[in-house]
Amino acid sequence: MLFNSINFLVFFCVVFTVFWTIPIKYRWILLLISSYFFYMCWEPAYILLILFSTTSDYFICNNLTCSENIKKRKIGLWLNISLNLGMLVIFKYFNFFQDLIKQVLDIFQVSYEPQYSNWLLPVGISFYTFQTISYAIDVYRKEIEVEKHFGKFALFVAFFPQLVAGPIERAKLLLPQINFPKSRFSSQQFQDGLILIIWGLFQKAVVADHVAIYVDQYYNSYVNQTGGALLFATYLFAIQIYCDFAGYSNMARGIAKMLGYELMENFKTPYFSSSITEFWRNWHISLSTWFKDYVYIPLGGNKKGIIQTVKNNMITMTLGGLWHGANWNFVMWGIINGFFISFEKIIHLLFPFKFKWLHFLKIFLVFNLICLTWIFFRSQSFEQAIDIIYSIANLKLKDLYFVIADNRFSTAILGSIFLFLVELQFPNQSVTEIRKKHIIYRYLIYLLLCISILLLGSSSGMQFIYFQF
Amino acid sequence: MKKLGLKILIFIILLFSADRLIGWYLDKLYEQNFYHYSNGHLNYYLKKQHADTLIVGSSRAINNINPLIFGKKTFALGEPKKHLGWFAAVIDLLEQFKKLPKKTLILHLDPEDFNSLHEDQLNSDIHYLKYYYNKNEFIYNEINNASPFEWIKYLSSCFRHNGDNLVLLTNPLQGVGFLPEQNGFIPIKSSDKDSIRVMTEIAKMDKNESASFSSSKAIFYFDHIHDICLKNNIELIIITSPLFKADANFIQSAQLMAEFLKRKNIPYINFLRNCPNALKNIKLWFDNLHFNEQGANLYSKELKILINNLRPQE
Repeated sequence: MLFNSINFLVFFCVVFTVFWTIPIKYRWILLLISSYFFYMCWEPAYILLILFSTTSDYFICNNLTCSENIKKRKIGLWLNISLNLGMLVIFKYFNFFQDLIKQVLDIFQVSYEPQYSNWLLPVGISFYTFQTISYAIDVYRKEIEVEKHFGKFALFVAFFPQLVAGPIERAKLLLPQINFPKSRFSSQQFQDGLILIIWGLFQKAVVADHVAIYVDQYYNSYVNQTGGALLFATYLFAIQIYCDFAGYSNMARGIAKMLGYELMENFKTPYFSSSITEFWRNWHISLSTWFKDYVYIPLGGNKKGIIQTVKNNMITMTLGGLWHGANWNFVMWGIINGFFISFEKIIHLLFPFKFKWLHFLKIFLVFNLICLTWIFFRSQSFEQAIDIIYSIANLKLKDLYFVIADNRFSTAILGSIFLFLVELQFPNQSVTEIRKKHIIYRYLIYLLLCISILLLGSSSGMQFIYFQF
Repeated sequence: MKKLGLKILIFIILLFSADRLIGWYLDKLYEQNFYHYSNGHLNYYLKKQHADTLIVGSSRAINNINPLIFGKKTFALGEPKKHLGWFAAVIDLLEQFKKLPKKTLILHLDPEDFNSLHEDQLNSDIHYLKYYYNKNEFIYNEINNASPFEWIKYLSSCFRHNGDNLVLLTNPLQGVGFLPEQNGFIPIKSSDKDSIRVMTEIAKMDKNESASFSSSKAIFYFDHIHDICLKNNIELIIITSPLFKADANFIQSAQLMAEFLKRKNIPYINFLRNCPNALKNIKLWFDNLHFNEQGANLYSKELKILINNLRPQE
């Protein structure tokens, strides 16, 4: 059940109405049942994985990880991490590691026939496993109290607005809201939630899904495409992935807000960043802060000199790449980002000057570098990415004409221009800030968004890109 | 709460008014649309034509078959990338608007139309005719079958034009997308790059797709067309145009389709199996699926002979 489907609209209307009608003490039960139902709409059997993850994490954290005995705590933590990562390895990385073992053994001329698994990747597995790992680490570090209520902990793991594609919530932010929910309906929260949902739906259905048609068309037949077409497709993919994922995150936040819960902001106009480091502070914030808090800082962060900082950056970003998918192109995507961030750190160290007049040039440069990394992200394989870069490097300007001349292209471009105009209106703030604008302006924007969704929105309810992770 | 309720009410009234106004304007544009994308071809036929023999199909029908070779009262009606879902809905519409061909319906089918792997396409075929949601019972039922809540989308007048509105705005500038004097035929001009395109497409052919005749939905749509023809005493002939190069699975699927049609006693002309040598010249092809104008004319003559052979000599 996708957020951009009519079935979800009906589901949410029912949940919303019942939620604000029943007594507060029963609301967590309603949300838990709704969350499990929502997840089972994809593949009912995979609910067992969530139940397994929830039950094991709950008992290990309550019996070991929260213990005063440091040995027990460590055992508990490693059990939590091993079980969650184990699930990820089995369901997400099994075939990848099989290939890796084969490649290594081939070097030593040892014959090995990989046994590939045919299991479908459970939707959202990378998100809820990382959420429970962060909970276990926070309990281990005594940054939060262990959750004693099994049902409420289960809701923390499976809260449906953010279950399948984040934001990866922290227990210290979400659990208190589950334990002490807002008793009164807030019209302000309702309006903000509605704005976020409409804005997210616009990003997804009007922009991302239309842009996706072109990106797929060019990338799927990249061998026959010109460099100009592939360059154009790469810029379009930058728009697609942003609108697809930010659209989902906005809808998730909006849905949670309408139920009285606050989720963390996942994107803050990332394409207006003037450095790759800043880009990663504003892109998929819940994941980048996760890696910062649980990988980068424990490795030593930037406190142990430039060489150690570079090493930590490279490790963190490579793992970040691997998190996205079991494929070498994702690993390479992470490595390139790690390289850019490290390079920036070295440049800042050598030339610690700030030129304000370079700001727009830096934004332009960062956007183009990020687009370069997207080629690895979008490609099906490392070889494909290299072929595409090679084609782009040999582009002829006249090829661009044929891409632009396609008249269906106008929807994607119109949507993108509107999107960036709105983003420019609210730099580094939530779109809910629109409520501070004049009433006529606000209502015109709301109407424009709703009519655009009805007229231009993809009616087929296309899958979100991040569901595959 | 009261203030919020009032705000929502005002917004809904504004949205409803804007939706009706834009929907009304797009309806007007749709009715004047004769450009062949966005059902302009269908619109043209419904408003201005009534053929004795009608050829219905995808781009392989309207690009490959020149109806004038069959006679002045033959018309080719099709949309690119459409399948049995669109054909069934269109023929239902023709019956409703009393525009069914007076004598013969030549339906162009490809074996992939019956492959269950392509059932999603059948669904999108029907949605392509969503303008008729409230106007045609078959389309209404088929759209509602997709989801029990599908009707909610159609509370909006704009939604009937979802996806085609920009084309509707630009179509009046483009006029009619085919020459009316060519009775729906859209010939493709040949160019120097055609043979490269043909060879590239052959290289890209999906060889993993196995032969299949498994889509119950496609069979349902086909039966609907057959029933309409039987009810209205219309001769139904199924054809499959040749490919420059068809892989073995494709030919095998066509064989499965031939057996199905034989059981129903419906004449079937399959050029995938028996393509005359004259049509195998690469210079007659635009790509692996479509002839250029010269190829289309030659193919139409061959097709006419075979169709005439189906009928008892007078």
